[in-house]
Amino acid sequence: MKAIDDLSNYLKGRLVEIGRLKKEGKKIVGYIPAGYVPEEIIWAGGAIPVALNRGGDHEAVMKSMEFIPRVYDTYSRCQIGYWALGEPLYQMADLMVVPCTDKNIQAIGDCWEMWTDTRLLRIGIPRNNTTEHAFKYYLEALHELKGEIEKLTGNPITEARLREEIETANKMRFLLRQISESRKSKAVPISGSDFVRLHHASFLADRNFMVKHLESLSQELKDKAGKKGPRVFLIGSSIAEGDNKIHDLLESAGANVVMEDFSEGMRPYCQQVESDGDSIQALADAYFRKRSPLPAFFRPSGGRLSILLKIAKEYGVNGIVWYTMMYHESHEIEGIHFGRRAEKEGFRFLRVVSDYDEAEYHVLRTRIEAFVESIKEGISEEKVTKRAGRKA
Amino acid sequence: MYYDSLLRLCGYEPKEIEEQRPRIEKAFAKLEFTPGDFERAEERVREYFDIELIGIRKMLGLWLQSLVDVVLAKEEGKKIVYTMMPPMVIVQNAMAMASKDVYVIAPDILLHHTHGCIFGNLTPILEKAEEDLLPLESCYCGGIKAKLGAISKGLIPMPDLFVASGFVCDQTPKVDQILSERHNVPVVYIDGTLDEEKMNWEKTSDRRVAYLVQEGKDALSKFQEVTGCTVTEGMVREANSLARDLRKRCKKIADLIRDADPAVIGFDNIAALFRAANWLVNPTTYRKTGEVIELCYTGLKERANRGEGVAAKGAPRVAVYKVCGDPSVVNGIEKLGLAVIADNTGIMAPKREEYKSQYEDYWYQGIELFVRMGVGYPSRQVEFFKDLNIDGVIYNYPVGCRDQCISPVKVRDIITRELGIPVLLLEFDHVDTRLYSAEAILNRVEPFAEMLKEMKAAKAKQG
Repeated sequence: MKAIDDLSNYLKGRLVEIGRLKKEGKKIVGYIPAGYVPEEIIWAGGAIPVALNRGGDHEAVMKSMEFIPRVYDTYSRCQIGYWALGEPLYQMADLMVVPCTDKNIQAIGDCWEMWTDTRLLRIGIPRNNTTEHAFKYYLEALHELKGEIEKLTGNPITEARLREEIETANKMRFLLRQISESRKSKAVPISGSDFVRLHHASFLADRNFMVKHLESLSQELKDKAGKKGPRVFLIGSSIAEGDNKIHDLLESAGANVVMEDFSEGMRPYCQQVESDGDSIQALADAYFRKRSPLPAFFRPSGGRLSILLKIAKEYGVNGIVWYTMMYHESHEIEGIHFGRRAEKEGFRFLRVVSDYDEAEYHVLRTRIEAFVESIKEGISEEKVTKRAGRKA
Repeated sequence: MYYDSLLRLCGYEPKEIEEQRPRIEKAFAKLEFTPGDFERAEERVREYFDIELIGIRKMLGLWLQSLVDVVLAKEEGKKIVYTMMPPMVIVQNAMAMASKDVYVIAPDILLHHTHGCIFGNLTPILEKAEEDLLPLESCYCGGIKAKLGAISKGLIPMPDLFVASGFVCDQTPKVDQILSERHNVPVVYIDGTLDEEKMNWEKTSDRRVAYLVQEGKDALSKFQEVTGCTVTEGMVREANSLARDLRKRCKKIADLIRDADPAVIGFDNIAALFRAANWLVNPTTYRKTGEVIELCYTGLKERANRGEGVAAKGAPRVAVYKVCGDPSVVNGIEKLGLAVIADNTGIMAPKREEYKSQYEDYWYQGIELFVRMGVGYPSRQVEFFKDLNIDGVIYNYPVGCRDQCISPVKVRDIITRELGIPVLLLEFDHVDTRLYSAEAILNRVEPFAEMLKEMKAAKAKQG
């Protein structure tokens, strides 16, 4: 697709551009994309948000072990590993923002505090979005973020600037939602890997460029012939930029990933931010209180598993793949529980754990090919049954 | 009966055994104990615990009595509340002391001390949890595995309420949530926020403290709703005052251990005693726990006065990571000629009761001190290792606990830099004996122990 090619070309030069902007005095704010750091506040303060979200690379995982034990999840260890390996993007931040959602993401913040000189802001994310004191806590954290950005850049963040940025981000969320929903059709116009790539690009790209790009892509998709095949819902803890294995294997086996749910590595795009009233309050409301489905670290989880099953039905899914990073406890435990429930509801289910290790590849390929084959056979059986029903 | 001998070894009086026999029989049958279990338990108690001291024997008896009590609680008409390790102390104490009709306990810590320490038969319970939600290969906490396994096997009853310490753990709240959904048992999460500064343990933010206070109070409200008990503010203070009294009594023992040379007792004994003082605070055991601490203090004081001990005079003093479940490693470390006198949890921290709160409000005071007690703060450990005049640290961090694993490398660096003492890092699960070999670990400790002895001898020469 032309739009995807254009995006790839743009991204090739983006890191250099960010480096140039930093030299010119722009402040860079690194953050972990777990869905709780509103970029709107950073852009409104005149800084550049950059999500640290690389992965899929066992070298970084191994490197992290010089700093923390192996029992933190692969994604989190990888973020620490990239910093330790001297990855340029990981050295650029003037301020690092870590939304402490669970013990794994907290570990990234702890390591940044213990081992780097970069200023660190932790945002404590309560695990319950229904109580007033939890909402207040998150709201205050966003005010703190606003204050930190103002201090960093010297620019006051006005209500007008925030609204402007919210409007842009709302456009981006709307377009991502529109593109995602195009996958409800029987012939899927965009692959799961391309859809995730859009999210990853949006973590690095200028937001105005990204919106324009998504508009072109949305137009292009309207005329595009889609692809048919087994429909898979990919649910996981984290999907990092460079962690392509799961998509590659599913797609090369003939499956279409038609929906995803990840705690880290994708931009929450289902909820719009209200544009009237107090903007920080509106951001807290959308990012925290209205988010659905809630990530696995929430308790109670707001009927998360029922919502996931509802989405699976809406998207006509045949199978669900639960993709967990090694040692991501709440996700793994929930995956085991969810798998039993999903199978009872008639979905084929596969639980996969990854440590970004190349040695996993062949075992994983065999399992995924068998899984996709079983869906294909299931589809054939359904057709045979339907035909038999019609003949009778 | 085949179990009498163990009970006597664990400080039960003959009269007490006779009085309690119907309950004991019933509970042991539910626990599926066999005569072989008791033979093994006796051997273990004799090997790992200081049975010369009547206080230590009675302390083990206290753990056994609590096991019997929880197994029978439901059929004796009590409401059951399961907290977890570590609980939010202020809330746990208030719940536990609220009524004789409610039995509150952290089953993980109980099972570690009974099935883990005394009986040495935790494995089948852990395996049961692995079949369900907690696969072996994922390094889950032995505590949550023990709780899930024991419930699934029907060894301990399903509670009326789960109280999950979400402020410290991701695993247990998730398992409690699933158990709650499966069995329609309410669960209350005492969640915190994870934005603490690891390198600045004395600093707490008002926001974090306020959040936890609200969570604690909400948990207490849920407890009242489920159990029908009323817990007044006065009761909260009274319960915590009683608990503080037990800790103060322990402090005398801690001071004795700090000042004694040779070391007066093996550390597994102290860990089990101090945990009993912290976690077996309820209307049934409270008085006994106090007596047990006093008995231990008297016995240790006499031993110290006689100049006797369990290690050679002048043996290097080491701190270990907290021990839980399997006593074989720390016991082995002591057999290598080291005096283990502290762990990293601060249970022995000399200044523990001296920390002053910045708040006026009772709840805020309690919570502030509680969050500052976290074990993940490297500089806090440096402070109390310094106070205890430690010669070396064996940092055997538990891989099952993500809360306590975060900083071993940093802890080593800071301790080495600021105290100039060596630190040995060891990674293993403290509970699950299938996952490590005590022998292999001790092979690594042995040269470290020799080095410490040489360093200490050289220091003594220099005067």
